[in-house]
Amino acid sequence: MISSGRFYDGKKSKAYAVEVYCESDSLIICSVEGEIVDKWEFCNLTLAQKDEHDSHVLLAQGDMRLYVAKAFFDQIRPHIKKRQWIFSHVFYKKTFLFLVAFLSMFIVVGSYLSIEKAAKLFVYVIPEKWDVYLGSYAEESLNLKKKLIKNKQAQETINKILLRVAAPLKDTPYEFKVYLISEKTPNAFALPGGHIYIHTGLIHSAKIPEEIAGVLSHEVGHIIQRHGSYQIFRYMISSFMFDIFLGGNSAGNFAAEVGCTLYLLHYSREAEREADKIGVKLMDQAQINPKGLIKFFKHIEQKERQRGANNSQTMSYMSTHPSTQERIDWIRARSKNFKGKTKMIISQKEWKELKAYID
Amino acid sequence: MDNKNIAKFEFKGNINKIIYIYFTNIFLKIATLGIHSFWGKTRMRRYVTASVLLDGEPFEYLGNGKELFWGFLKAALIFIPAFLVYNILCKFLPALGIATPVLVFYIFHMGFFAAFRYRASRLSWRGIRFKLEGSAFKYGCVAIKRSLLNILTLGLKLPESHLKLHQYMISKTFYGNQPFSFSESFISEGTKNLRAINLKTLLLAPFTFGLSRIWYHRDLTQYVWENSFLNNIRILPRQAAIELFFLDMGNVFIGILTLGLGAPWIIRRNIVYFTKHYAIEGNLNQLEHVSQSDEKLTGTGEGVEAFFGNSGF
Repeated sequence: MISSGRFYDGKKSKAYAVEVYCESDSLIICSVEGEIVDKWEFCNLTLAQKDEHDSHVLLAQGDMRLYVAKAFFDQIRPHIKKRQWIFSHVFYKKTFLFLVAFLSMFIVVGSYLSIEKAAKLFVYVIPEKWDVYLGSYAEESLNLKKKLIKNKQAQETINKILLRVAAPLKDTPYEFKVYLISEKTPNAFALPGGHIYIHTGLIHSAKIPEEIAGVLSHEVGHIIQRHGSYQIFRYMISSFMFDIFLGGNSAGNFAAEVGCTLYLLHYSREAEREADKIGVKLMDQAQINPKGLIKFFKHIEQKERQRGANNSQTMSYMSTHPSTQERIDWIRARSKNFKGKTKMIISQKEWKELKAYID
Repeated sequence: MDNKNIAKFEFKGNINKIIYIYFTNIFLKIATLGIHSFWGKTRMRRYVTASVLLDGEPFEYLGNGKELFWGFLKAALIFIPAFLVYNILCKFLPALGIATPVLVFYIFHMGFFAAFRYRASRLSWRGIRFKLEGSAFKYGCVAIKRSLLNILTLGLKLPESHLKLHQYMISKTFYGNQPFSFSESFISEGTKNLRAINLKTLLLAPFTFGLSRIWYHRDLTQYVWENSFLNNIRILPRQAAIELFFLDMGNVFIGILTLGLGAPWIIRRNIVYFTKHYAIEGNLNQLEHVSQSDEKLTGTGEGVEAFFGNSGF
């Protein structure tokens, strides 16, 4: 069978009208005058493009291109192996795809279920000293230095409270430090390695220094239990997984960020309880009145009510924290067992000065 | 304008096939813990490129997964030790830290140029390959110099900077042995033309979340292509800024609403947009004398870009 075709010699961007026919294991390309232009062995040619709706098929050998009629191609098709279809997309067999899809789903579900365990393993394997590096990395990425309050006296007073809270911890690899940052919300957070950040809003809403001590003891609990490091590892593993699963394109990356942030919004309920437990224990050992922490949670509960969250259970469900009332009851029950007397943390003068500066 | 001399682009791809390739790639990427992504990317590029026709002739993507994979490994082998050494040096000489943003910026632009060179050398039409000459290092230097100027002039020099970078790339691009041209004289003229729109859109940017810049980029693209020639042939964009705006916004919404899984539709939208709004002006028969470039298809691809996860679909 002879077919007419269009030929590009790979040297010039010029189309030549040709006639094509088969000869044993080769394709013979002739000019319209009948002169042989080239001879392609079936084993060396490749299928550059084929579309079921097209009337022509594009064959290639090196830089040379040849368009032939689809009917002609169907004749030589048995001679061309599937691996030679390199330029166009190659479709896999359905059974193979089904297996790959099943394996992928298995990996996705397995990975999701093992995030927590993998993060715990990382925390277990990586030495505590590395928390300092993780903390400084987080500090840089959160750009916290810009928001720091640089009043020396306020900083000293806050440090004094922290020193008192952390005093019972003798063998700790961490150097605890607290920083004040300009934020209106009554909050505080701890980074791996010992650094705690307190919002000015927390000092503003606190009525007694023991409230601050209570929050600091809770944050120290997070640090010594390495909850922050665990969160960072969980974030790293999750974002790696999201990146793989969502294809690594820009829209996928954005979605991955959103997904990871939503997933890692807060510490787990378990971690919060653990930090509360250590916080109350530290307050007991440091002879700090636990009523401060109870008072702090009461403020939070009041704020939640004002915000329209008529019951803290709703918030608890959203944030994964134990409900505020639950925490108050728990701390109240534990503080009944306090052994010693409580002592003042800072003088009334120092507290008033700190409040005056913040207010 | 003589209508006979307008050649149109055409998209013959099928969204179902793009979806099929995309999801097969995701499954294979997961099953191979990411390694297949280089081959997957190649497959998608081959299909999409072959679906774009000019004057009835398809484009072809000649790259392969192995090249991308080795490119990535090469970049990883160079950059991971380099980052470690740099971090250690920064510990001892904290002043070095100031250079970090400049270095990152330089590597980003250098990687962009190198990746473009790879992709150009693997793009072919009528069996003739494109190529990009020039130095990625030099391009990185020009990009840094221009960026510093942009900062110092609060963005007033942006049109000149963009035109210079485009000029460098276009004047180094070839179809076979035929170079594209973008005369340096167009830089000063273009700077004048784009000055007003640059200023207006910059001033509006804070109030429009940066969307006003779409109007500037539309004018910039229009100017660059209208003045870039291959012989007497040029690309003619016919796009309204509002269409570009809807394209970008639509893509962002699809991306967010589908958590990234709508990427096949984004790919299709972008290509359909390109083929609908861009055409070729000039007689394509002029290209018949163009010879194949002597450059051999060797080397590895997109190392730096792939390493930083920025090499597109």
